[in-house]
Amino acid sequence: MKCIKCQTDSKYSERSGGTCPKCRARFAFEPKSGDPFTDPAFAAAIDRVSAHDAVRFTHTNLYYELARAGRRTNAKKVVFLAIGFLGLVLGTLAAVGSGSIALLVVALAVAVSGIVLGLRAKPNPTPALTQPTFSSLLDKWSAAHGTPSKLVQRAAPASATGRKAPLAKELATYSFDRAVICDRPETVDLLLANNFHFENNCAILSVTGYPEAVFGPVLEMLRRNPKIEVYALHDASAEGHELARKLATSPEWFRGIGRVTDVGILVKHAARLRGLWSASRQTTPRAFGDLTAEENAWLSVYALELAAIRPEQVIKRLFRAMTQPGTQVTTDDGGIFFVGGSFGGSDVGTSDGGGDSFG
Amino acid sequence: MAESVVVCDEATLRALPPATVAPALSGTFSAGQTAVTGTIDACRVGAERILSLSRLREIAAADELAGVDGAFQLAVHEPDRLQLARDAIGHRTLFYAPKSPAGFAYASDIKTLLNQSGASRTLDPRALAAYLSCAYIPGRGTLFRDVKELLPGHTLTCTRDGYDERRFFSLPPECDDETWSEETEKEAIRDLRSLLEATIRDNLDPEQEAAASLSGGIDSSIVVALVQRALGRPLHTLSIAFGAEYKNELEWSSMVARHVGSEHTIVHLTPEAILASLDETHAFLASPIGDPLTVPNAILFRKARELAPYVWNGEGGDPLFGGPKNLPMVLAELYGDGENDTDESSPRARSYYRAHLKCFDELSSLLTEQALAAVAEAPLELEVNPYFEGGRSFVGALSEINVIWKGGHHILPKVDQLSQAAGVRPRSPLFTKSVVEFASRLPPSLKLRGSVEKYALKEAVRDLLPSAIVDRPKSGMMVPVEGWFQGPLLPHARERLLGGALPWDILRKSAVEALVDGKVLGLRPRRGVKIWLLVALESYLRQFT
Repeated sequence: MKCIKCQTDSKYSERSGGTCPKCRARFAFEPKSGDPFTDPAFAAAIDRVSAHDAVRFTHTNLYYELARAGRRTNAKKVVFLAIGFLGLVLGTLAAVGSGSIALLVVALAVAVSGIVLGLRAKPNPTPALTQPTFSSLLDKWSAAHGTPSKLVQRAAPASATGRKAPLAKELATYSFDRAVICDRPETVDLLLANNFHFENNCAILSVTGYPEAVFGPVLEMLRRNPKIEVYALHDASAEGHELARKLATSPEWFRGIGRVTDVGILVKHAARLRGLWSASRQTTPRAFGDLTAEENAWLSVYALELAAIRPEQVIKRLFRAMTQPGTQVTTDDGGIFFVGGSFGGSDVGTSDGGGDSFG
Repeated sequence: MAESVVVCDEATLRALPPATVAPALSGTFSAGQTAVTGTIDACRVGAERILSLSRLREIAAADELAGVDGAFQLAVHEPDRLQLARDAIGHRTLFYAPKSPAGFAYASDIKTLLNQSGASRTLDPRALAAYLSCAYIPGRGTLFRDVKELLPGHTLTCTRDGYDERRFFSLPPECDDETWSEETEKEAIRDLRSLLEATIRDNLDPEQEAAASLSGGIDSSIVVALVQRALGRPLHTLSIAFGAEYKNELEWSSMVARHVGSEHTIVHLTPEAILASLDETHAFLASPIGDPLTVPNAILFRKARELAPYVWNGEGGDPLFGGPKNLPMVLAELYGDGENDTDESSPRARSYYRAHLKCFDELSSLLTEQALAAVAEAPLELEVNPYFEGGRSFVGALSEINVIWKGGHHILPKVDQLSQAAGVRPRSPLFTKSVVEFASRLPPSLKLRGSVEKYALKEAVRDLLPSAIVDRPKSGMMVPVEGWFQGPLLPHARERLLGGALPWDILRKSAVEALVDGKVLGLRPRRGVKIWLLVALESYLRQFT
């Protein structure tokens, strides 16, 4: 295993005591002792999820990044392909040695089946890495190398969660042009930690009432703007699927006010992230009229957390949604909301460098 | 109304009236000397127009400079003392070197001061950090360690015993929202309209042609509408675009030009024209300004000189009346600023610097360790904190700091210096002392109303402009620096930044190389803005090498 400090590659016998034989830096993990990752693999996951240490990320983002690494090394695929290739090599050798055509046919059949099954093998729908295992891995990592610098360490910034003074009356009279409403507090934390609100003139709340200290006043401020642009950001889940409709039709949110755009993960986006799915939280499965039977069936069993998408992609998607109009959707109960484009695609995260004053 | 389009490339630029350096004001303190020197433009005290320096001196002697509206810089030499004065809000600049080889020396620009006094050209890392954070240098400090700037609304008296600065103008206190009724609010909006009309009337020469820059934003549109109405005939309006491949605001500026019926000219600036004017423009500035609009502004003034002797502009609407950057600060106040750690002091000040969207968060990578240590001795944040502790509302405090800092160290000096160089006189009716005083008294709810910025200003002129202009969200005049520095201007920027006049004892060359090479990370790297900031600095420093 390579030392991430000095890049020295060492054998197991050389790193007694869990330290690098050259620079004596401590290793967080020891694969020989059962750890599922090496230090370089864990470091690479942190590098990817933080877009090379440029973007802050949550614990859950890192969990899914590591799960994604596990998804790439799909065990079923490895086993089938190994059987296929072994069948091909051993069968051919045996057939040549014995001169048996029948043996050769059997060997080729095993090989072809193994390879086909291997190539078609899907990963397990949910991550093999469990949350408790991940927590213990992160603890080990932090003890050896320190907490990752871009890991969101706290809940929403202090002033939002634990204001020492009440909100100034003056501030409560203002409003904003845009708001992102998330289905999870953790997404609020992610966006605030990356200063999305500050750079995009945008309030951020969760549908669950987070951050508590400012939730009421900020919602009131937002509802004061009849042209408010609201972006619903959510998991691919039954609850997430309902979020935009709820925001557009609930009198407690934005019914008759402004415009709601769904920028969350849609069920149709989830298929390509098999392996990162989680269990559905629905106790009584519901059928949504705007989804196919297959999609409804998927929702009754699974969900895909927004945290499975890298933060850089989520934030760039929000940038895009704020500059491109979505497609209008009319709900059964007369509500109207819009659906933004899909995840991926070109980045709009470039500024064209406004001047400060002219004219 | 007629609309014409002019493409301004290098050749067109050469055909424009040449820009010239305005005569500098300079001198030293020496006992026994008597003289009055200075410059004035559009100065009034009450209803009286101030037409001579001797009258201005009388007003200064009577300690009544606070009543003077207009641009001036004044140096009064008396046998036993020297008195310097700079106008209330900072149109004109004065710099001084207290301990130069020539003694106490002053000048209207830094280059003249250094040349004539022999003061040290050692750069000040802290001022450079402020420049990188704001794109201008606020406060007394200048890029040169031994040179100070006399603040707007201040006098300085120098005697054999030393020198003393005194503030003669302060922004009046803000009114409390609680004391305002619907009726007083309507009255204030009517008063604002009357004040703007009177300001324009007082500064308009009906015999002369008038020109105005027109971005299509609310501020320049207001000025165009009011000036056209006061003039009673079409005025010349000028808009800027940067070629079909880049976003522009021409839809809006042409709408306003059509609405008021002005003679409208659209000037398309090529990257080559920008490059050709770069060093000349920055040499006209007393202090470096890293706003990408500086060079386009300078070219526009030269173009306007062909049309009229006065050029009107809408500068000041944002800082005075609650323009953009207030809402991000309100959001940071509500939620905290994600870049501030919980244990950091001065969170508001840090957010204020960060809201400029320049290089505040990159100082640790851009500055050398030695420079960072110098900055750490007196952190930049300390200069902002007092504004938030002065008893004004949050938005009132932001307005105050924007007027004093950005108005007096960026907007007004830039307009004054670049227009003088082009041979035209600037008129900024939204940014006069009387309008500043009026705006300072307004309660915060008349600046930011809900999410509507500049509420009182918009309501004061609603009848003059199409509602599409009054109610459109602020977008800012965009200069395509990202496109330029990913394309046509990148080789030039590389050559300038890595082989030019940047100070490598203060700036870290590897960080500048990474910026030029595109190795800048982050969700919105704003590389073009940062490269421009450094290109403008290098261009400014060239004149001292």
